[in-house]
Amino acid sequence: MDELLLDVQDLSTHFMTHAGVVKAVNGVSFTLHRNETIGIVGESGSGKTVAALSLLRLVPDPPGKIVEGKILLKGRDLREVSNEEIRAVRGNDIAMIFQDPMTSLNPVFKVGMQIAEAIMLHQDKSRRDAWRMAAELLAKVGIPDAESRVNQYPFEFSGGMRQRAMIAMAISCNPDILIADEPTTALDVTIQAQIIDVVREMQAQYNSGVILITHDLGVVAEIADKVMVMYGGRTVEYGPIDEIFYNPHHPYTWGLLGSLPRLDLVEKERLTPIKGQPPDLLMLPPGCPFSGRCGYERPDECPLTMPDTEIVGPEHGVRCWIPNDERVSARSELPRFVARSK
Amino acid sequence: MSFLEVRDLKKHFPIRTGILKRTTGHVYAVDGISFSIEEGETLGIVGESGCGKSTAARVILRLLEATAGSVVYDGIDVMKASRVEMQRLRRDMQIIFQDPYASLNPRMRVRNIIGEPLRIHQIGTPAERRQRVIELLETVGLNAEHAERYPHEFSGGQRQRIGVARALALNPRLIICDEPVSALDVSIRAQVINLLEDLQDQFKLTYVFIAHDLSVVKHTSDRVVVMYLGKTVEIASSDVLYDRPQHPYTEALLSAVPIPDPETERNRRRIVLEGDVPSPTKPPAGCVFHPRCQRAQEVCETAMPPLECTGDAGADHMVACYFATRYEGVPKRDAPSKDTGEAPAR
Amino acid sequence: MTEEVVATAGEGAMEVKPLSPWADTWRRLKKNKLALIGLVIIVIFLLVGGAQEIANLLGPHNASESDTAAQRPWWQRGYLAPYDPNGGDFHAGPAGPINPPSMKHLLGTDYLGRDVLSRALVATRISLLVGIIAVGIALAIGLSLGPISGYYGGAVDSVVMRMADIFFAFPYILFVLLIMTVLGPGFRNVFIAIGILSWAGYARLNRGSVLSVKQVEYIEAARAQGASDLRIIFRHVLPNTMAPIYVAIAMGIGGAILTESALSYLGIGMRPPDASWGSMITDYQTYFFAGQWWMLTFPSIALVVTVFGFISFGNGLRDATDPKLKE
Repeated sequence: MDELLLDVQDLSTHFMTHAGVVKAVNGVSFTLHRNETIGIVGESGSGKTVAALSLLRLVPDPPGKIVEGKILLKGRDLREVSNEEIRAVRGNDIAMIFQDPMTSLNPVFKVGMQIAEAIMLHQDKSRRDAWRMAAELLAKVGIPDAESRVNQYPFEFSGGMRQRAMIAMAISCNPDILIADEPTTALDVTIQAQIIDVVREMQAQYNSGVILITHDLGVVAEIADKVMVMYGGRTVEYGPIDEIFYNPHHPYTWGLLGSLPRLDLVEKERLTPIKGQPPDLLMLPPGCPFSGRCGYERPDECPLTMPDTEIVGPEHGVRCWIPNDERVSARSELPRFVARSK
Repeated sequence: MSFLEVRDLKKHFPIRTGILKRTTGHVYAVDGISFSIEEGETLGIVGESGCGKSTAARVILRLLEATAGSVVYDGIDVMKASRVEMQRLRRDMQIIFQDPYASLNPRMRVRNIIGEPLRIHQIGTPAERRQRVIELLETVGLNAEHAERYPHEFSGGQRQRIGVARALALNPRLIICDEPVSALDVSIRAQVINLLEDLQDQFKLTYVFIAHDLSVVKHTSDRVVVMYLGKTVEIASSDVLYDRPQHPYTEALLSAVPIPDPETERNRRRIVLEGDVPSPTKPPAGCVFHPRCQRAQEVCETAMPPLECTGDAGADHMVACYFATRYEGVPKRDAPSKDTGEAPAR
Repeated sequence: MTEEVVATAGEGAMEVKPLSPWADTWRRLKKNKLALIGLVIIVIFLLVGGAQEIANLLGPHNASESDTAAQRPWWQRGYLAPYDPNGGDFHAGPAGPINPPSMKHLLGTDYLGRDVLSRALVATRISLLVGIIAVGIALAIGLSLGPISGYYGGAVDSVVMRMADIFFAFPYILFVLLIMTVLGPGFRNVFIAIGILSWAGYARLNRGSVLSVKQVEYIEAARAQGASDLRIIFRHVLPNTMAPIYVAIAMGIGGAILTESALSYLGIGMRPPDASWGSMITDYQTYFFAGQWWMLTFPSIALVVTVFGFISFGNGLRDATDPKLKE
């Protein structure tokens, strides 16, 4: 196993709003090693984006606040470091790519400037060197004509190219960790494929760890080594990718996998949706946030206390009150999992 | 005579610049598309941004005036219909929108939103309308008490249901679904897809299902139209399209769609297209796809290939390519057993 | 099959109602002390100025006006006025007509022995009427032309906006004076003048919102249902563009009151002996320097405080409805 880069323990981030406390992230833990990609999967309200922002202390305070947990970057707790130190980490050790390439780049500065700025900030390079490196980076992420493109403004770039430019900015300082927050959601599918390839290549070149935040299980299946499934601010299941897809243990994971229309399956089966609505973060039960939509919940346990992590496979954990054997038999009755051997 | 026949439909938007607002160019959003729809079927239209699918939807419903071409429904050319005829046609053809937050008037109560079409066409007495609204709410899985609420009190999936109820109010025969689930959470999408399918059975509806997500389109549609830069490049039944795509763009599109199955993903052969989608203001000469096409040759720069059937991939499988993939002699793969649901080896 | 659908959707329908846009605006407004003070001032102003209407609503048996009150023209019948605002009394007090504030005349009397309080109250009513009617006229014109201009665009839009530009180009006060000179002084003409000149602001403000709202999907939905343009404009577009208009109305009423006072000050608005804050200021300013301060002071304060109230509230409302303003 490669070097351990990031060790997040029991991270909790809450928002104090006028309507009450929103527990956006509630006791989340995961690790990331070099050359590893972790996919954090969840829908709206799952807390995945807030978790990522918490790592870099980018959560607006007020109203948000990291109330608990440790964020250990190569042993150093990022919650404890000073503001200057965290700024040195941002963009340098941990870099982030955001979802919407349209608004993530500053429209009044040339693209080259934005990349060069990041370089000059963290590395001791002259302006000319930084611009040269910016052009090289743009070429590296696959932008044709990088020499002239570096002098253009964001509006002259298409969506896919802007995303590549963002990736170039992110990797400009050889970060150990790359956080990609829904990097492909706003893009067309053929462009999406290109971007995923770029991320993969950059990871290989720089030996970085990648945290991929998405709701798209297909993208996760493409590049993640391990997966963490979040719901309502909690981790409900995590594990290596094959375990999650072929041996899922949490009813939410079943629900997700079962409700996706599949391109590759011939027979037209009826989808099995998860009933109910996404969680209202102001009204979360003290226990499992999925109770109420689960279908298998035990009314006297599930909403009241959050179960501990139970190990159900190699590095595969789930937080669920249903005993293991009951779970396996319940799963075998679901249409998607009939006789899925793995 | 098909239920709805679209023939050579075009919609060009003029670009006006300068103080005098002279026309300096056009956006060739829809540039000559043709297809027909049979009653009761679901026709999927798939393509990426800029392909013109949403514009096509609006032109078919005459929410935008066509630049050229015809849309024949029930013997009438929608593009040439009079005001009176159009009012009648509107009752038959409705639309469901993509954005559940923008498609409902935030200042209107749900009962007014759903009841408005009835009021516009002066159907029923107020009491009858109120009753119908409750009926519609229940049909889409909501309750009578939701009628008094405002849109902001509902979640995205629920708002989409309200949009569906509104579309059903006039008992339409055709509903165009413009990306109805793209803006919804994954776990809610399946609910709405199932709802639409149930309603189709219940009310004998014909759907045009527009989406950029091929998996969703394949699941919901009987036949699929693939659009690129304002043109149709391929039309086939949805099974055949996945099994035997003929157009290089379709092949690339299919291979780009991420499949939530790690094993399949690892073994996949991917076609990654170079470059970006060209702007619809400057479509390439000849075949619109040729700059990004791996099979492109000289002839592709001369003229857009016609949409025709090559015969080997199915009787109504149409493709617009000089070098369409041929499937002569390739046996159609057997439908795998329900148990394994394996992906085909590709 | 529908059972599954029902079970799926009905559950978990929002139990905690998220705040409606109005409730949220009110919540934010409450934090702004100045705006709240403004609101209180406005409410007092409305109550005082509208006292007669309120009294009428409460029933005729409450009316106990004196005979002279019944003879006054309708805009002079401020119910709260303890004395006839135009009825002078040369022996109002020991010193003759002019008396400082006392128990009998709370704000004193003026040079004709008229009760200053009564006059001030009636003047409040005048200001209220001017504010509301003038702005009402401006809105009627502006909110007809604005949405139509924005929705149709093209030639219609150009014409209306150029007309609005013309109205903007003229210096406001001068033009009001011009119209008043043409129409002649008097109560009715004041609000016509102000109203006619203010429509352009509302129209342009509204047109901007209309341009963005008309692209939204629920408008397309209405068209797909066969709604007529008029229905779309006034039932769908206009209600969703009103937020900045409310702010403009608050400011507009404040401005109209101020303009009317200016006109009356110049002698072009209310004609004597009618009481209006502006005319009272004109009348009493010389007496102020002679040491008889009470005549000038009270109407002046009333004017300043009222206009301040409207403007503060308008500012507060604007801040409270601005989605981008950080709280």
